[in-house]
Amino acid sequence: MNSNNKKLSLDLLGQIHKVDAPPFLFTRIKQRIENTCTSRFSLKLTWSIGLSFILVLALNFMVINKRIHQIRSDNTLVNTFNLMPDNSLYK
Amino acid sequence: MNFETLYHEHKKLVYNLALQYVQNSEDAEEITQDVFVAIHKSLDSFKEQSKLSTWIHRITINKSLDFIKSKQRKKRYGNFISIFTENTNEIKYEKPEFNHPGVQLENKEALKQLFKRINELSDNQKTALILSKIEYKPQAEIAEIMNLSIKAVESLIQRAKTSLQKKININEGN
Repeated sequence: MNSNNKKLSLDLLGQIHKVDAPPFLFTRIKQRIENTCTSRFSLKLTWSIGLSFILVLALNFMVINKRIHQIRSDNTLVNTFNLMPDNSLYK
Repeated sequence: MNFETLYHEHKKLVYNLALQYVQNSEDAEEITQDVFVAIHKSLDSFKEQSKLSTWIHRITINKSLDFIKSKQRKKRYGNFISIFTENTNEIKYEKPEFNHPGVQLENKEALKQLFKRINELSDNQKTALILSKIEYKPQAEIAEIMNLSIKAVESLIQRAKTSLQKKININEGN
């Protein structure tokens, strides 16, 4: 049997003393609070918003580009077969 | 209340309670900082529906449990990464050693073993045990802090004690 385990009991918890907080803790807390106030948005958040914005712009550009390409190919087809582009017969 | 006055009145409470959760002075310092930053952020919204000390207890408990969870996540991530980077000199996360400034040298080894078993308890059982057996809070106050009924707290403490005793007996049997 381990000699250390002989002493193990909940009563041991009563022998823990209260200690004082480290002396310069308040200065560090104040520093952290000031830093939080100056940078409301974290670097991670700024980057993710920036990247999302670029992604949305890129997707928009792709969709617009595709649409333009489609309109061009439609016009080419109409011109090739001499088709009327609309339904008004009496123009 | 002025934030500085509030800090000086409650710093000992916060630091010591955090110490009971992490048993390491550096980690307890970090938790204390987190707690007071959170208090500073939401001091204006404190509605005095509960006592100020109850509110501070709750924040400290939540921050301590969050801190432990985040360390465990880092440890798991560290283990995962180490599978791919076996022979690198990168610093891996290691569980901080038992460094509780409130423990006397002659009790250090025994309390280290005891805390090892307390840390295996569920969050609620651990909190109830710490508040009752180390912080000497009456059950009514523990119930208020934990937002539970007195009966539930009583049952949590009883189950924590039974579970702890079992763990100790198993270890003594080995």
